Amino acid sequence: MFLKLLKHSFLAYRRSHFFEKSLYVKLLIGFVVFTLLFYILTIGMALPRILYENIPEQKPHNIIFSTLVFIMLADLLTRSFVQKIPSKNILPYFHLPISKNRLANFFIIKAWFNIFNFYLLVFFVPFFGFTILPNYSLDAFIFTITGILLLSGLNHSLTILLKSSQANNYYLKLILILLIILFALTGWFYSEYFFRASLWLGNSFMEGKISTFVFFIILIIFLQAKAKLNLKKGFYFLIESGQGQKILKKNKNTFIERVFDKVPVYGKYWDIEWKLINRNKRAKNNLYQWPLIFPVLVFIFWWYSEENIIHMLALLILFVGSYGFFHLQYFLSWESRFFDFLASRKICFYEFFRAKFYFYSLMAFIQCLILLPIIIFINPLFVLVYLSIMLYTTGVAFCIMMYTGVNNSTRINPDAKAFFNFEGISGNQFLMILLVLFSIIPFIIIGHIIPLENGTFWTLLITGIIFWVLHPLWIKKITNNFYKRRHIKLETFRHN
Amino acid sequence: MAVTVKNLQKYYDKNKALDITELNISGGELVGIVGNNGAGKTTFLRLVLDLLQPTKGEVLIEGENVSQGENWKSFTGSYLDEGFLIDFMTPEEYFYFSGELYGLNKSDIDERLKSYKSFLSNEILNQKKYIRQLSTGNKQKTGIIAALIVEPNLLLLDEPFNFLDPTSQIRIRNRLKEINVKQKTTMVISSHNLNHIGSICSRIILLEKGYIIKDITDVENKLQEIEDYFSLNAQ
Repeated sequence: MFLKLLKHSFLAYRRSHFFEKSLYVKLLIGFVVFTLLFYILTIGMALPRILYENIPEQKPHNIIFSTLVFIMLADLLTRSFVQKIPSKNILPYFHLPISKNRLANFFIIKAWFNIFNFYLLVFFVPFFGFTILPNYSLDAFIFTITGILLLSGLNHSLTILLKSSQANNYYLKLILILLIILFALTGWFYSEYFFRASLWLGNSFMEGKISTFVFFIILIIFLQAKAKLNLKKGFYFLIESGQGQKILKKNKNTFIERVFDKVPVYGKYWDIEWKLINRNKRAKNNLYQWPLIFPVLVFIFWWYSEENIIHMLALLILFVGSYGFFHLQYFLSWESRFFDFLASRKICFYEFFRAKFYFYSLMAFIQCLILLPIIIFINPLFVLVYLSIMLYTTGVAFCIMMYTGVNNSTRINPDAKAFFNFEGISGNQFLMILLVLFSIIPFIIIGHIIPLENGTFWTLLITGIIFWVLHPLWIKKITNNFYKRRHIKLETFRHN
Repeated sequence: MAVTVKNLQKYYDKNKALDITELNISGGELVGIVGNNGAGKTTFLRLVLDLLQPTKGEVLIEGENVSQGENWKSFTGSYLDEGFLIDFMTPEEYFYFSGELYGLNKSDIDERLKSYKSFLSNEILNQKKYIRQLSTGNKQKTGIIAALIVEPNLLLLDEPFNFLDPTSQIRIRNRLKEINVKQKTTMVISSHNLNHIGSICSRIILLEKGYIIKDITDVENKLQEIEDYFSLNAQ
């Protein structure tokens, strides 16, 4: 039976929506994943040299050993929010005559096949390969990697225990976060001790101290056994959470919804948009990541000078576009689940599209208002840079995304997981991003040709303003295109 | 196959979803559960199948507490909703797998499927489709057939007539009655369709806000009572 369940897991993976995509899209997704892994691999390979050149008094692997505890805490924190338990894989088996013990075993083992248990190796294997392998021995290298795997396994076991507990998950998460904060604060104030303890742990692994390995193995077995016990008591928590038994605590309109109520024409569409992104996991998780853009943008403006900020233009287009840049990549796919409803109701799509355009532009403006004082403080000349890119992104880039987005035909479940979710990815989406990114090339060339300081940014600014002035026209054109395609779209949304 | 419920309560947070002091369903009974939305019908079926943890009380199938033992699973068939389907399988694979768990081999299943040929109406078998690609009605048929094909002693179905075309509704209704009579299968069926429930069930339980309001055994003469109850509510 166990093998049968494993076979089903393989079938579920092999028959997942990902494999139903066209070869072209699969290759593109594969390329993106490969590029990401390549980046991590490159960091792992380049970091030893960087550390050696900048901190020559310490051995690179010792520096990483000293921060091992912190790396693992960050990993644990990420896992507690992001790592999924294989609940979907076993829910349909509950009513069948399969013992809970078998299901629990399957659950525990299936959970190990998770990217979180392996991604750190992409960094650590090359890093230690360049630091430990040439200077020590193959044994030391293998021991260290085994140690990393054990720490990763410990985090995995803690996460599974936490998520398989029938107690209220929110409280457990809160306790975990408080513990990590406490740990981090103690680490901050008594960092010396933490670094030393972490270094000791790393060296214990490298030296192959059996007691250290045994300690972690026992701890992992204990946590896994505890998780299995939790599961054997019943899988009720999976069913209750999976069946949407959560009861809405608040049923009152939020402040934002009350404001939208007062906005004429577009308010009702903004209300749908807000509820869509605020009440669905995938959209909401990305909304919560939006503030992370702020420090990144501040860092870019702080790090780069007026002369070389242009090198970051492509990245700035993505970041200054704010949440809208992410959301509009899947233009109308977000609504695919209730598109029949939209299409069968008296909705003016011209107003609907304008409302979308204003909504996401507004988010970019809010981001601008928050960041502008800091940017002025860093360098007042960057105000032109920021404003020009923002107007260009909200004007031109949003126009390209909505224009090409009318052809989006992939369904999205906005309430599905946010990470490693390839739903909605299509060739069309890649095309729109490439178009947006390549669209800046003429402006860079113009900037070099015209005898005007910051020529690129001035032309971006003027183009952005022109697109803003003309937005009723291009949104009208998009609406017309949409009406021509709406039946194809409805058909594909139903079947994809 | 008898089902006994003792002091069964289920709360979602602080909201009471079900409160049944005592309920006995004897072997061979065909029990219909009716009630408005939120009455607790699905919660009751999930509690019987040990898919929810009762806040209080217990459910016994043939004297075995469902949350403490698992023997009852080997003679219980059920279909509540799409969550019961392994949607990345084809319907054939699902039937074979489901049958295997009840000790049936492929030829047994193929043989039994023949009797459901008219119900399957050439839209489910040999379509080279995964269950997730089927229409809602065909998914419903797949789930119901998978529950029936193993010929369980106890059968639990939640809204089996939903999403089905009228012909299929009548076919499934007649088949349920036939199985109940011939195989003496105990059946618990929840539905909003009073006509179907009234025509096949020997006993009807009316749930309202988690409580049993009426428990009628003389269905033929007292079905009107239930219809009146709903009519009164609608006014």
